[in-house]
Amino acid sequence: MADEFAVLIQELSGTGRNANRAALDKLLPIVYDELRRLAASFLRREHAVSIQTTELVHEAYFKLTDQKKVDWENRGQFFAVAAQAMRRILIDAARQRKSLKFGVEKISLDEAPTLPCEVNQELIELDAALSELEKLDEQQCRMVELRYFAGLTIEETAQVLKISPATVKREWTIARAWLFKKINGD
Amino acid sequence: MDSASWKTVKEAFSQTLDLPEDERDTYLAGFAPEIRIEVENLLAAHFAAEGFIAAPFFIEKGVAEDAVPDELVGRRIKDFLILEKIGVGGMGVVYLAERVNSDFKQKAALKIIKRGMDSEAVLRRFARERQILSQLKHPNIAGLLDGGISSGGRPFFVMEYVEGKPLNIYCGARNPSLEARLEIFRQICSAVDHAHKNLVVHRDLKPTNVLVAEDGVPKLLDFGIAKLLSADNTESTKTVTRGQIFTPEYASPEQILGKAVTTASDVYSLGVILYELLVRHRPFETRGKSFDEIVKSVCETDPPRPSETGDDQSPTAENEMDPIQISKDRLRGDLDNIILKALRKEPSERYGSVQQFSEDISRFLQGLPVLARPQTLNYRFEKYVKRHWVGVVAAALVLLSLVGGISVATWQAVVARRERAKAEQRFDDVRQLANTILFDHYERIKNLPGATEARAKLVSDALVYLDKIAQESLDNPELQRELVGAYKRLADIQGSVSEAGNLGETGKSRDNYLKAIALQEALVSNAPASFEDRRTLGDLYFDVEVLFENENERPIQAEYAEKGLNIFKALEKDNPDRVQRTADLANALWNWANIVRLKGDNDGAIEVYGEAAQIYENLKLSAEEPQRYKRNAALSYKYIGSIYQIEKDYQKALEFYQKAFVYDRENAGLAQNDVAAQMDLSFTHKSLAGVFYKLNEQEKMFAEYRQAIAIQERIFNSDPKNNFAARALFKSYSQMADYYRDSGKIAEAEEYLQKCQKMLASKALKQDALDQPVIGVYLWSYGNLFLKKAEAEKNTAEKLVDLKAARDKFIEAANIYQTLQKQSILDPAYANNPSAIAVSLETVNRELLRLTENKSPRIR
Repeated sequence: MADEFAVLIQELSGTGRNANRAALDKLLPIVYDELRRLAASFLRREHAVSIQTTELVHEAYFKLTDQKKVDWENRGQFFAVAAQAMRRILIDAARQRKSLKFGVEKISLDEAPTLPCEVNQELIELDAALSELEKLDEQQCRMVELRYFAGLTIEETAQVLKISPATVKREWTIARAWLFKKINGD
Repeated sequence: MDSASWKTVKEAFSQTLDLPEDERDTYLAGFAPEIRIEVENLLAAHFAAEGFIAAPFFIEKGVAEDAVPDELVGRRIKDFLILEKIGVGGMGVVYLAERVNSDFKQKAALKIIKRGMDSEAVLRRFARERQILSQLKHPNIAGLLDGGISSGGRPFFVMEYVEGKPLNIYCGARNPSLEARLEIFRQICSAVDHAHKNLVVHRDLKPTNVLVAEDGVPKLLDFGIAKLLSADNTESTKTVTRGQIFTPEYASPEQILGKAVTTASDVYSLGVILYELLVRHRPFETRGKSFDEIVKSVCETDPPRPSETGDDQSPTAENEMDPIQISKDRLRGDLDNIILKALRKEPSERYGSVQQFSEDISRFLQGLPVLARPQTLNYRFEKYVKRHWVGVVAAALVLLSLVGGISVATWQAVVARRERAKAEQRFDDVRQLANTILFDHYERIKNLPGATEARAKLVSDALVYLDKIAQESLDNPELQRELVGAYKRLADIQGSVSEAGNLGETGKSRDNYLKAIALQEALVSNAPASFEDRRTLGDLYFDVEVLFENENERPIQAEYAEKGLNIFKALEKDNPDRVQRTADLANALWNWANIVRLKGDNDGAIEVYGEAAQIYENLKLSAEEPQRYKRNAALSYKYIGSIYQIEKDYQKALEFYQKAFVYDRENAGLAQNDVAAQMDLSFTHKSLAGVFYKLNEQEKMFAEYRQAIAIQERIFNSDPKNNFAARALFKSYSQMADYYRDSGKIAEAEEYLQKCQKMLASKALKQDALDQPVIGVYLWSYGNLFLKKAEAEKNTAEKLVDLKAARDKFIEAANIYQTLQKQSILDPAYANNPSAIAVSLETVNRELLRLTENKSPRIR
């Protein structure tokens, strides 16, 4: 799997910022699965205070690639994909929890990360708002994924998106306000 | 919004934000209205969005540590200005704060719940800590100043800020004398004692939770996991599981083992603190050890006497700075005894209270004789055997393998008669040892906590040897019997339903029962078998039969039950005068009747129960315990009655229930305090009520039911902890409500459901897997009551309210059963409830739909 992953990463990084949709589509499930597994074991850990989100993503990354072969640019790509995957993992988990309430079980509980109940609704609302934001401003959407779901700092986000930290800061503030407004009624 | 306007909005937003507040309107006025409104909305959202997605998801939700600078520094909460973050705990963050609207400057520690941690459980814990602090007023406890809810909606409270250093750091900096250390320690004791007298156990005492001010006055902090002894004990014991919250280095054995935590646990932790205060390291080495190793030493090893700790033992890292040099001579004797008394493994052997502990130190300081005595030799010996049983047994096993190895080899090689005697001697040695292990050692360790796996290992090891020697002597029945016993014992440990701590290895258990059965069958078939041999075989059949029942292997189960029955029938036939044999047979018949019933052969089951009942009737005349046999006879009659009831032959059912009633009433009358006898009688009243209902005799039905409930209420009130009685009463209430509802007495029905509700609210039920299905029935009944109300209701709005209430109850009930089913722990007796409730839900939903579509509000 690591080899396949490296190839996909290569394809992705070759196409630069306009992510190759096909490669992304192939890559996402791989990352998703690995991350979901990691996130599941991570969230199930009772005493999970020392590990940070970025570490989690690093862990997945090192698992999936031969780290020596991949340079920072690829790693940036990886984070972008991982952040999206993380968003999907968490939303899936939230949705699943929600649907369980009505008795429809979609995936095995063991595999899915379990979240505290009360965050489900928030997450689902945030996801919907993010999808709206993506139509308006794709970069801001990526930014929120990187910051909120993958836990990247302003500087790291700037590196991944290849923009200046000042821009990240400014755009981030707007994105937050926009999402808050969207969720709490225009 | 198109991308050009969005760009303008973004630009304007950033610009506006950079401007001073009073210039913003003017700046924005220059834009087109749609741009200006959007920016204004965004600005409003921006200011309202305090904390919104400010930290990454995992951090925000409290599952990872906070890595971002905290947003509260510099803000004001109530009268307090937040200065800096000084600590992060599991649920809250602690800030240094300053009171602002006051003439005097006052520093304070403000503890606020972490963002995203405001789940109900955490809020409760937080509120509890605040409540505990509010009731503790003591010079050595950091007191509560204020509390409330922040504008962001997060609960917080403010404590006295202690300007001091943790105990170990303070000692490092000031190097107090032995006497000064003991005085500081006694002040800590005084704080803990105050808490205990207010029914609060701290549960996390350690040097870092004690801050010592410059003047040497210590203050106790952090009641975050403290427990209120008076209330919600069950909840708090649940929250503390192995290694989860407390600090293992200072935790008592009972805390580490997850047992009940009491004031004695705080005595123990204080003992560790004192130990460390005097010799600079803790009684048990924890550096570089796994949690399991720490557990082992805390729970099994005696701590070295403080005076005997070598000078070469280096202090633990936290105490490195402490220059203390106390002569070991000063510790020897009284202080040793005092500290070790606080550190006893058994809570009951420690000081009875923190006050006693402190007073003993005071006696030491005054040169008076102290209460603490060294452990007696006998005590230590007992402890040794208890604690080192693994070692004792292991030694026995090693010995066994040595002797056993020689023996078997020799046995095989021996031809010469002269050698044979010697070999037989060895052979017997092995046998005896294996049996000692199996039966003596086993009994001794049986009830020790956590010994289940060790037991299994012990037995299977011993079994290997027995097996080996049994192979050598197939003609030795005594040996074969021992082997059967060993297999049975192993099987019991692996999966017997009656073995308290079985390993749950049903498959292995079954295989070993079958091995035992094969050996025992050979024994029985070989010789003119003895009564005991045949009885053992019969019992073995029933052991394995139960396993097959649990695995739902009905045909195989029936096969073994029948084999067992035949054995006991034959035994009884051989010698019908023996009470034991007839009682055995009756039990076997009961077992068999159950199987016949499960097969669906009702007539057959009635017949077999009848046979059993007849035996009990005979036994009651001759036996010494007539009550027991009358009870069994009554039970058989009740089963027969219930089968007739299923067959809808209500007259017959009534006849048998009445027969049972005669015996049950007699037994209950003879033993007013015998809960089982009283419950039996109450159940018989209920059975009678059920059949009167079917016979349409309402008055009689209610009369029986009231009698049943009266008995159950009496039992429940005399022993509210008896969950069996509580559940029975709860169930009776909800059934009574059903009967009232069916006969149109809505108010009465509701009255009984409210009794259930009251029981739930007062936590009268444990709400375990056995209680849940009964609660489901109650909810269902409640839903049906609302449905009934809705039917009678003319007003559409009111009707809707009732229907919705019914729906809520049905959903709640459905959820309970669904959860139980998912965990595969739903009692089969309730297996039909989920689908029946689904039908009720469907009904109510249909009605709701019909009403909301504004069709005719008439129902039926």
